[in-house]
Amino acid sequence: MTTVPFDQAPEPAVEIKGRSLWADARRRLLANRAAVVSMVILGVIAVLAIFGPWLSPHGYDQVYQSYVRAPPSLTPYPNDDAINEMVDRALRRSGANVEELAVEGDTLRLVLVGEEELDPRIARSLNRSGDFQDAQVVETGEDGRRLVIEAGVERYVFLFGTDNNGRDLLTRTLYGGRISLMIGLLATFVSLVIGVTYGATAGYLGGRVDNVMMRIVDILYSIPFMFFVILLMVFFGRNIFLIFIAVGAIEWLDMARIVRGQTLSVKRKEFIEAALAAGVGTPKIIRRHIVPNTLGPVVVYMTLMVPKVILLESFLSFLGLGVQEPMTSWGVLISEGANNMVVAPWMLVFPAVILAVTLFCLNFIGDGLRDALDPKDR
Amino acid sequence: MSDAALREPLLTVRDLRVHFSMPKRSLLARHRDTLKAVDGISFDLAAGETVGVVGESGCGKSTLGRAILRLIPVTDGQVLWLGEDLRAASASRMREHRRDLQVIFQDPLASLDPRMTVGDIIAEPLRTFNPQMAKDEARQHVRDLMRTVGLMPEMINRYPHEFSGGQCQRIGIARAMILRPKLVICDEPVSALDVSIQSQIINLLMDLQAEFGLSLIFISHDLSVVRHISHRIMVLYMGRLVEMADRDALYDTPRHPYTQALISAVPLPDPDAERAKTRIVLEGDLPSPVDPPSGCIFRTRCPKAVDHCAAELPALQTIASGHQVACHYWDRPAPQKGT
Repeated sequence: MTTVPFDQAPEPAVEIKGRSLWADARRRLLANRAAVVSMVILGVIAVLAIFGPWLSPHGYDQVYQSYVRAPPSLTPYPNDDAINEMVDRALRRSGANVEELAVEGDTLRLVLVGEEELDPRIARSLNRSGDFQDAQVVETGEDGRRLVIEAGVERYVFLFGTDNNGRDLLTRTLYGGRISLMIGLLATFVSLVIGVTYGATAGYLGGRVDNVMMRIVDILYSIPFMFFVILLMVFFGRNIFLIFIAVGAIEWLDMARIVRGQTLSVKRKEFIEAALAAGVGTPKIIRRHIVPNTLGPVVVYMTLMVPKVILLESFLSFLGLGVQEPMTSWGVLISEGANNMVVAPWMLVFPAVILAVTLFCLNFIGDGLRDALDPKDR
Repeated sequence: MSDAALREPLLTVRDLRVHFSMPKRSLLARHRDTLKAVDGISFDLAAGETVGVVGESGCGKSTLGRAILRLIPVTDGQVLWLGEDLRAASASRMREHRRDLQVIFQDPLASLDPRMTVGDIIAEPLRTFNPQMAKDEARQHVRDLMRTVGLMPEMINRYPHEFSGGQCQRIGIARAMILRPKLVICDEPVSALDVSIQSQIINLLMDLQAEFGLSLIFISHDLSVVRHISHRIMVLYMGRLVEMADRDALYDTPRHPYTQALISAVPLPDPDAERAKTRIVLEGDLPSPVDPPSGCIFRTRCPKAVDHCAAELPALQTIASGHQVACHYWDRPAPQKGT
C-alpha cells in the first residue's frame, strides 16, 4: 500500500479536503480482497443478467420441441448422430432408404434410393419435420428411384442445455437473474426507506411514541408470511409487484428494529445535545445527525438482506406463489431443476451454482463493508 | 462582591429542582425511587460574569447546566432569562432564546457529529437561526471564527476525527460562539484535556469573554481551574448548594466543612508547601442519592456533625456580603482529630 504524505505544508489559501469517514471506509473496503473480487463477480453477473437476454440468440420463452432436456454442450445441436435419427424419423413412411448422408457446415446432402419411383414431395416432409429448412431436390436419377436432396440444418448451441419445454437454459438463467436481482434490490430499497424512517423516528422520539410504533412492528411480525402472501394473491391475483410488496412489507420490520437500536445509542451522544442546544428542530436532527450515523450497520444489513430477499423470492416461486411462466427467476429454475434432478441434473446445477455464487458475493461484500465501516470490531 | 453582580441579573435561578424517578421492581410491589439530582438551587448571574460550579462526581453540576438550557425536564423551580421564565416559554420562544444560550461539552470529540465537516458543524447554529444567509457568507463567518478560536481556516473541510482533543474543543467553542450568545454554559470543558491544553482553552474562553462580553457558567471539578476563571463560585453537594461566595472569599475563608475539605485537597505547586499543609480527609463514601441522609445531607461525612444536624436541614444563610453557606455550625471550629 502506498502512503500519502499527510502533513505536507498546506498552501495557506487552499482549503484542505478532509477525509470523511465514508472515504476512509471506501479505502478499507477496496483493500479487502475478498470483497473486491466479490464486487467484480457480482458486477459481471449483473451485467450478464441485464444485457445477456438481449444478446442471446434464443428467446427466454422460445420453445425448441426437438431439443427437450438437451444436455449442456459446447458443440452445436444437432450432432451427426442426431441428424441421422432426425432423417430416419422424417422419412419413416416414405419408403426411401438413405444411401448417403453428408453434412457440410449447415447443409445436409442426402442421397435417397427406393424400390419404386420416389415422390419428390419427400423434401417437403423433411421441411415439415421442423428440423430442416429449404429442402430441395437437386438431382433426380435412375427413373426417379434416386433423389439427391439438399437441406439446411438449423444448428443451436445450448451451453447450459435446455429445460423440460426445450427452452435454452442459459437465456433463462440470465433472464431469471434479472428478476431475482431486481426483486432483491427493489425490495431491499423499499424496506430500507421505510425501515430507516420508521426506526429513526421511533428511536429518536422515544417514550410512548416509541412504544406504540414498535408494538405495531411486533404485531406485523406476528402475521405469518405465507398467509400474508396467499391473501395478497387471492385478492389481487398473481402479479410480480405483489412480491415486491410482500417481501418489502416483511423486511422493513427488521430494518426498523436495527435502525431504532442504533438510534437509541446515537441519540445519547453529546453532539445530539449540542444540536438541541443550537435549536435544531426534531426532523432536522433525525435527518442530519441520526440517520447518517446509523447508516453503517444499515448498509451492512442491506447487503445481507439482498440475498435474503432473493432466497425468499426463490422460496415463494418454489411453492408456485412467485413469478409466473414464461417469466422466470432463479427460484423457479431451481424448483424445476429439483423436479428433474435425476434425468436432467444440469437444470438444477446451473441456476443453483449461479445463485450460490451471487449469495456468496453479497455476503462477502457485506462482511467487507462491516469491517470497513466499523474497524473497531476487527 | 464584584460590581458585575450588582447589575440587573441576566439569569436568575430560583429553587431549581430536577428529580429523576427510577422504576424499581421488587417482588411484591412496583414503586419508584426518586433521585434528586438538583434539589433547590438558587443563584443569579450578571452579564459578563463567570460563575464556577464545583462539586464531586454525581453532585448534579451537569444536570444543573442542562436544566437551565431545558435539555432535560425540570421538576420544579424557576429559570428566569432576562426576567422571562424559560420553563414556561413556548417551544418557538425557547428556540429564540437558544440563540443566546449556548453550551460547551465535556468530551470534545463526542460533541461533534463524526459525519460532518468542521465547517458544517460550526455553521450549524447559523444555518438554524439564519437559514436565509448565503452559503459563502456563512462560510466566511466560520472561517473568521476559526481564526479567532485558534484554528487554521484551511481546516474547514476536515472531519472531527482528524483533530486532537484540544482542537476539537476549539471547534466546540467556535460552534458555541458563532451566534454571539450572551451565556455559555461550559460543562467541564477542560477535564478531558491535558494540562497544557487546559490552560490554552481556559485562556481562550477568558479572551472570548472579554471580547464578546459573555457570561459563563463554568462547571468543573478542578478547583484550580475554577479559581482561575470564575468571579463567583458555587459548591454543590448531592444536588444542593452548600456554599456560594466570591472567588477569593471562598478560597481564603471557606466556611462550609465540605468546601474546606475540597480546598484542602487542591495540590499546591510548591512541594514543601504541599508536604506541610494538612489535608482534611472526609470519611465514608457519598451516600446513596436515592436515599439521602435526613437533615443536613453532608452530616454523614462531616467532621463537625452533631445530633442537631440529623434533625434539621440547614438553610442557606448569608454570612457576609455575597457569601452564603448552608451549615448550622459554620462559625464553630472543627473538632480536633481524636477528640
